[in-house]
Amino acid sequence: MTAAATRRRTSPDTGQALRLPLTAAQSGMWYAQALDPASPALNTAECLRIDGPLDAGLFAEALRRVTEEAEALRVRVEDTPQGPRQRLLPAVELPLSVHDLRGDKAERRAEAWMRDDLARARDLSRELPFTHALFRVADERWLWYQCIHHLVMDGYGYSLLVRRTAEVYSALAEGADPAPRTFGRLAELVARDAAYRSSEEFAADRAHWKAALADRPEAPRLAGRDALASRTFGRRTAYLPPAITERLRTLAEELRATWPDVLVAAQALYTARVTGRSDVVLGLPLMGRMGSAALRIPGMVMNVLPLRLAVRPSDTLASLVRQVVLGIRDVRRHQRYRYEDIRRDLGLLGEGRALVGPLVNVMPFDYGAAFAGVPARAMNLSTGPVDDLTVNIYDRADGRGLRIDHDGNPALYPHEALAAHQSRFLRLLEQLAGADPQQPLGAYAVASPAEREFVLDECNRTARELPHTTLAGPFESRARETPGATALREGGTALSYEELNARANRLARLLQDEGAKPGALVAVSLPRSTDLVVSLLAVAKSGAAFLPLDPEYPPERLAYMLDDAAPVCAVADRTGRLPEHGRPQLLLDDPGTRERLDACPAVNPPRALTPAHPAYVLYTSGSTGRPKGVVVSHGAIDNRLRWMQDTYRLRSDDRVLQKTPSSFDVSVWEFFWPLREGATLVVAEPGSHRDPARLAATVAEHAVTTCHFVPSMLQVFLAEADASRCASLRRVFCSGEALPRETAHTFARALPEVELHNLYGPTEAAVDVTHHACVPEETGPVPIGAPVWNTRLYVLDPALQPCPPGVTGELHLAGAQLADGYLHRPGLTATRFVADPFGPPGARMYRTGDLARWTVRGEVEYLGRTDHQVKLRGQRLELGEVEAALAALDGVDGACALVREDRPGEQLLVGYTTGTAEPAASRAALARRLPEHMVPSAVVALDAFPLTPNGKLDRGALPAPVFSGGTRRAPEGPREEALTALFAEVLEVEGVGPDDAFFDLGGTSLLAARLVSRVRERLGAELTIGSLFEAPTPAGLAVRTADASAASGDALGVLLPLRGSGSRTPLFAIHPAGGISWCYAGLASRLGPDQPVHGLQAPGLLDSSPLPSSLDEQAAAYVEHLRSVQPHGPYRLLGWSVGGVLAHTVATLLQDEGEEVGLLALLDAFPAEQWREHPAPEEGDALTAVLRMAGFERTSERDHADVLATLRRAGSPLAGLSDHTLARIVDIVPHHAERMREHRHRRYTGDLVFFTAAAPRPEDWLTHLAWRPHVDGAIENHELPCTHPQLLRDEHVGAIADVLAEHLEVPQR
Amino acid sequence: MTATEPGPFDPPADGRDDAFLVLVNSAGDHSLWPDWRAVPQGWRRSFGPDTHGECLRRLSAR
Repeated sequence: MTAAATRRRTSPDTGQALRLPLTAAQSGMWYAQALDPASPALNTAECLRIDGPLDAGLFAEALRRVTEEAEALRVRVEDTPQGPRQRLLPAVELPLSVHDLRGDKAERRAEAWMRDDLARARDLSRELPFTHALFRVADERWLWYQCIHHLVMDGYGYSLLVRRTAEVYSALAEGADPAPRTFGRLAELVARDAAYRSSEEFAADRAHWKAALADRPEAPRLAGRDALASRTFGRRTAYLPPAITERLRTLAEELRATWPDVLVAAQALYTARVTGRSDVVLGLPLMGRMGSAALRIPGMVMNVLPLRLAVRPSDTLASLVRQVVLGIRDVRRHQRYRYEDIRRDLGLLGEGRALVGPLVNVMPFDYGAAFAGVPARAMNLSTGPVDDLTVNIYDRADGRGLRIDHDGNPALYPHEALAAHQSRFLRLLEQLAGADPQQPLGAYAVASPAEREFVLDECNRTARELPHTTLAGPFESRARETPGATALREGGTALSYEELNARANRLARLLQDEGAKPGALVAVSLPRSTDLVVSLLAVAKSGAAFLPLDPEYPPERLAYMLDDAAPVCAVADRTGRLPEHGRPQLLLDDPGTRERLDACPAVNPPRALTPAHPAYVLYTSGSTGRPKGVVVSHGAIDNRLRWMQDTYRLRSDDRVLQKTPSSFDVSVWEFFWPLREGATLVVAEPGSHRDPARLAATVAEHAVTTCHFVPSMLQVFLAEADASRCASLRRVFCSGEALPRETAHTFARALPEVELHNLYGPTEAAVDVTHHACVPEETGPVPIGAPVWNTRLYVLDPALQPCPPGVTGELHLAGAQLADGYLHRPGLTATRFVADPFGPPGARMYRTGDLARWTVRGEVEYLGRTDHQVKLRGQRLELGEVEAALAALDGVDGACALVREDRPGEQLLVGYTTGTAEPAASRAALARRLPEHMVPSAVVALDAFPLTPNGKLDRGALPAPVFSGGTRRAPEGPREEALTALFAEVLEVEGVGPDDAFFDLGGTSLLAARLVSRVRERLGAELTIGSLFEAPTPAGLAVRTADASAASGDALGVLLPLRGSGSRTPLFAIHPAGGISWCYAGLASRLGPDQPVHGLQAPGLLDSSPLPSSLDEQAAAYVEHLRSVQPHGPYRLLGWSVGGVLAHTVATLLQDEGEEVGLLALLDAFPAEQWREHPAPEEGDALTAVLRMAGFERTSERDHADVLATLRRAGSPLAGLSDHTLARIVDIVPHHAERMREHRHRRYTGDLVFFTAAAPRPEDWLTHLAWRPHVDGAIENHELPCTHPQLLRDEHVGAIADVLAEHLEVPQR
Repeated sequence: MTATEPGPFDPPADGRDDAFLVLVNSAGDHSLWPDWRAVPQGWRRSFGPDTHGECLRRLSAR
């Protein structure tokens, strides 16, 4: 723009108007308005009260002149193809209305008019962006209202306009000429803006802001969340008393700062405490005007800049104010760079993500305006849109101290909340003004005295005197009172109180002989059973504390816990249940033990037990990789059980279900509560806690009245089980996870007569410390409730000060139920169980790490974690422990773990590794080391971990695991199609193929239950969860459910139709050492829909038929089966391991009978003489064989229970094998090994297709060439880069199928 | 207090050397404690102020 152009005047005749682009500041406002054209939020307004005489006519004239001088006001803003433009109008009619409202409630009526006008959205393309109104509310009192759209004017601009208006008016009133105009022109504003945007300063400012905010924290939100821009705002006005205002000014001087700096510091402190963060970003509206010229132009220039401050409890007010001073100085240097541009540079636009928290708008403009000597006092009506919270502070120097307006987005701050924030802020200012600025900020509390009293005292009035009993005493008293009542039911058997007590007493004596006594530990490792109950009671009676060791845990973990806890002895059912640990084991299945027990007296044993002694030790996940034992005293758990009885009143006709594993502290009340109240404990079958149908059956069968569910299991139970069978229930308890409101509603619909109680508590506080009775009609999050007896709950901010109700903080627990601490971990104990600042002298409190807040009704709501501890289906695990386990694996460089909820409601534990380790192998290795709930559903291998700009791990950027199958062929047949669709539906994964395994697609045991019931519903096919383990693919399940003969039992017959249909010549696949041919299922599906595949399995898997006395005999039996399917050749044969040897033998037998053999394929099978001289480590033993069939190498499994546990944890199909079958395999494997050594090979006439597992192995003498003497044809060898057990795994089966396909002449896919 | 910021009992973020105490009560319980917070009734200072690491060492070696 040339100087000439900017000075162009327009004449009214031509009406030619100057058209200018918008400045960046104006554009920001334009786009904001365009988002919601009907919103009046961008109107700003002010009202000046003029107390004295005023000449309305002169006033109007003054306004007219000022309007002419202020070009920014006289614009139409229009959208054009090049973007929005402002058209400077040469002259406008002054939009001033004058109202004589003298009379009743004049000011009220004026205010109503102003409110209405303010609420009217302006269309800037058609109307003027400003409005004036003058109200005469008394003879000598006038209200001047002006409303200007924020696009054309900012707060500083208002002050220029008002002062000029007063100046002109005053001059006119004297009959003099007003001083010459000084306002700059609109075009100048536009030009300055353009100049800045193309300057080096612009580039420097951009770089500054990017650097300053690159690793910014989340914008602090006092309301805890964001909301959409609102059309209105709520406002609370308060005045800081003059005395305090003065003290603040003095304090500011002492700190070499200004009072606005102190106010900003106070807001930063308030925000930090209410949001629980130390890295706080406030919004600082600044004039944005640099240079004196800029100060002369009324217009929209202001900008909001982020002011980032670190507020720690250890800081002082002095240091915080210094930070503010330096921070603001720094911000001012770069204040011209627009807020919208900063957000765009940081990638925050479009998602509406916030950059700053509350705005602190300190307006020190001197509004001393006088209209011909008559003073005018300004009152702001609106400063523009309020996204979240804006604190406007005015020093109008009118003797009333500072005026403070809290403007809040009504969607986030209802009236009471806004009022509460304001009154707390004022109290904080008062405290700061009167205190020593060198004391730590941690000394200040944000809650008001009333709020403090409420959350610390009123909500925690739970003191109750209780008798000093233990776990043993009350049971023994009850047994005395009602000896004949039924104490225990398991399946069809029942035990009376007297009988149970006697059995427990005998065992208690034996334990005491082994050293059990108060202060000692006894480990107990038993599956759920009567014996488990007896054992726990016995330990309590002996005076010792029990340490439950879940039999399903990996041996390594059990060994660690035994070593760490050092119990004096252990109770188990059989040998091998627990690893050797050098201490006596009492094995209840052992006849010797039973004899000893019979010899013990049946009366209560004496013991010097007090409530202070430990009652139990339970291990929980440790964040650095080592689990830790929590020691809970009798006094603590007794408090919990007495409170429970008083609140829920069990009667003698109640039946409580024992279903929770003993390693989970919920089980403690299942075991000990009913038995002290004369009720009955019903012991559920082991494993049934995972199967909703079985649970419902148990509840129905035993008329259970009381039971516990982890909320995610309750959800599955309500969805999958028949709730109508559970009419006997009176009450259900939920704990372990947050209880979703939808689940509570579903429960109320399904079981309307049954009470649902939500309880909360960590292992470190005797099971549960809070309780809430669910009310069906309520909405919102289900609270965890109020504290139990003799318990105090504290929600504390980062300075360990109590949070007011509604404000989130960390939950701390105090009182009688606190655990003693962590076994052998004094350091850890002292950092988690710390001094209690609010309780009796010397009291402790436990830091839960849970985020929570008090409601005004005195209940606590749970809001998440502060760290990396997670709950997965109610089980607590430290991500750190999973990470440590991953990192310890070979080939893993770095590891991290995460619980992901990519689909709402479905939580998956996912591990991430860098390095060379193969993810599937890592996962399998973890299945060996960690309990089931800690094994990730997937491990994802990354080249490198994603990092934040400051080099920290960016967990948010870790990719979701992609669950997808291998070759994805289309399903064929209606069953396969239906099943594939069901898989996709239940797993919510796209692109599921019929060969994809359920557990590889992210399936969990919860989803398994869902799938099974859908299959039952939709296909009418009876399926158990076990059969899903056996055949985890849609193809596999299709086979099982289609063929009547393929029901679970017949999957173990000699002939196993892996694919019964198809037009081609069948392929017969002979079992490996374990005798089972399921391993060929994957191969079968890859060979295509038209290729029948039949497995041949060892005889006697199902029954006890004798094993063949030679491989020849065995092969002959197979030939018969073969011919029953295919009477004549050409035959196609395949075998893995010993199956290969058998296949070769079958081939020779068929040739003897004159039949043609079209294909003989051997998978890493070697002739007898290669084994005769060697002990055949390859075939180890049954356990190894079974594991190998599943693709695992055996490491620490000691018996078939361990093997099953490993298989189950890894989601292997073979986990469904029954004990009988496994026992048969135990016999079959050595049988094969021996028969093979005795075997003499005959000669086969034809070619051999051989697959070698070419990974290096100790048995380096094995070679396919050893078949040479026994094969009269070509030997075609294919090498695969894997080990023997890995041959039939997903990764390699495809390659084998490809080779076979050529020989079988099936089309390639 | 969050997954990204240290809380009152955590070692401070890099660069700061906040002070911690070891407290003990009459029952012999020990507690880590931040220096900037008043010592609760019934507890007394038995070590510190010193670094987080040093206080932990004292607490663990019992």
